[in-house]
Amino acid sequence: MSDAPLLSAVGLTKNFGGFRALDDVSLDLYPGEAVGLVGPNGSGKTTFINVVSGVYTASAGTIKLRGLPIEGLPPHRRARLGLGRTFQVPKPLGNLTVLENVQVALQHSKSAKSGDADPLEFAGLAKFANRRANSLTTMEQKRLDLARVLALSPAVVLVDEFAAGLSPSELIDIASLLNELRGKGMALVVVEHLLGFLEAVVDRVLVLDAGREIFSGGLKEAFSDDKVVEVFLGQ
Amino acid sequence: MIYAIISGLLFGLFFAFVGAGLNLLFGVLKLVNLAHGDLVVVGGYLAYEVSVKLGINPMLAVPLGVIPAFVLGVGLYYGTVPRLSRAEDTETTSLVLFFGVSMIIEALATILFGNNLVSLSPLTFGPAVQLFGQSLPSYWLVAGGITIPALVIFYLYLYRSQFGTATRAVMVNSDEAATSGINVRRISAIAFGVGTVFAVASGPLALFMLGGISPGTGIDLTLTAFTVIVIGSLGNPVGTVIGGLLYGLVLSFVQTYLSSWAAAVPYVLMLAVLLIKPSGILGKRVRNA
Repeated sequence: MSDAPLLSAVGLTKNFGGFRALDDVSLDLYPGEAVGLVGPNGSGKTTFINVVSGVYTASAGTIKLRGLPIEGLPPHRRARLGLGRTFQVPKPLGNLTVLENVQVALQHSKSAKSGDADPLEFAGLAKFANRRANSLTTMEQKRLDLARVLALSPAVVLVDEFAAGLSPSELIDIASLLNELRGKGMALVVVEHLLGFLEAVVDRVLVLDAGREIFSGGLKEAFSDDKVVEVFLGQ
Repeated sequence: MIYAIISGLLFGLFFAFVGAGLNLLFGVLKLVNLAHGDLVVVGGYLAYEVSVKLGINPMLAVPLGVIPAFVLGVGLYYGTVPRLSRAEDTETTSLVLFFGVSMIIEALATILFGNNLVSLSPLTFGPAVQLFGQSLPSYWLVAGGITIPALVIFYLYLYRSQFGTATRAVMVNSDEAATSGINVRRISAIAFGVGTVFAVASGPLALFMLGGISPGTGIDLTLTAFTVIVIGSLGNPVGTVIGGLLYGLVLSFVQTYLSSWAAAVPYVLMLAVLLIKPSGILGKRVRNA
């Protein structure tokens, strides 16, 4: 593992009025590493993803991507610098073709290089290049979301509940694609409820509850941790 | 019958031209610019001034107005929309705000030009032209000669340019567009500029197609443009052309065969479209969970 983290989030806090949705959460992410973000509904997982990707502005804390402070940048500039994100419900640019969806990201990436892998080939969508994105199945739309992210040539990919609604065989395919991204040196933050899926993808997990970090470590260790057990099982 | 069809198609293209910018703005920003028709009137007064004061062809106001209109649109965007997005109810606040902009333009037009209708001679472009056995006003053909290339340029901008692809991406989903590296605010500002250019550029035609303009014409044009884009499909630029042509044809036939109903029938058509296909003719079906 390299010494310099690709993503370094320190003390991230997000307040919505008087409600603190994220409270002093920190995470360092190294090349090729995948961290699962786990917690009950409302624990702050998606808020973390939204703060890191720039959808929300952090109330406090710092975020560095490849050592560059990005907490003051809007989402599109973070994306151009190599911070990709997928959505729980795929939101492809429906009236655009599959190819245009990827081209839009390619045109705006500052990290993409000529020798990069073809995102559509990677996602197995090359044969659908000229189809409208809204004609794809849910699984194909998720693959397109990944292809779009890959076109940005990202250093870090934030994967928000990507496995929701997929069949067991589709889960295996998606896990394999995410592991391929890791193999390319990208680091992943994976928000997920499906433990089997997490086990196939991540090295360690960060468990959140009420916006706070309550555990950081291996997935198996997490479920022998008293605080985690109490949060998930209420005992 | 042939006269009604030609009239309907040419007026339809004109209405599509007027509606194109409004629909672009709605598609990108999900806001209705209630000052859109007043911007058309600004273009009309510009053409009037160019013709009366400088004695040159009023249609030169179309190219002359492009850059100032773009700057005006971009300025209007940065002066209003980013602040609007901080409001609790952006849509309602935007309606009130753009209604205010509309009133300001109307008041300024009244101060500068008075309340009366201003018009130019229908023979500005020469005598009537014989076509398909019909005697057609020459300005109709000028209108066709401007609106068709303008709508083609609009199409090329949206579907054949990098900006256009980014614009359509923002129309579909601004969050996903931003995470694809698109500067949503910049694209929105450009769309506002382009929409304003289309509004102002259609003004010189309004001077002839409507028989003249007055400060109050703006509200009527906003209403017409809104009807056209609702018929075609809100947020779908190609739908604007379909909506415009349909609106123009219906208006023309009603004026020819049932003239006393002319003011009401286009809106009855809009209501019928809304009741049968609420998303407009080219709109997607909406599924409510």
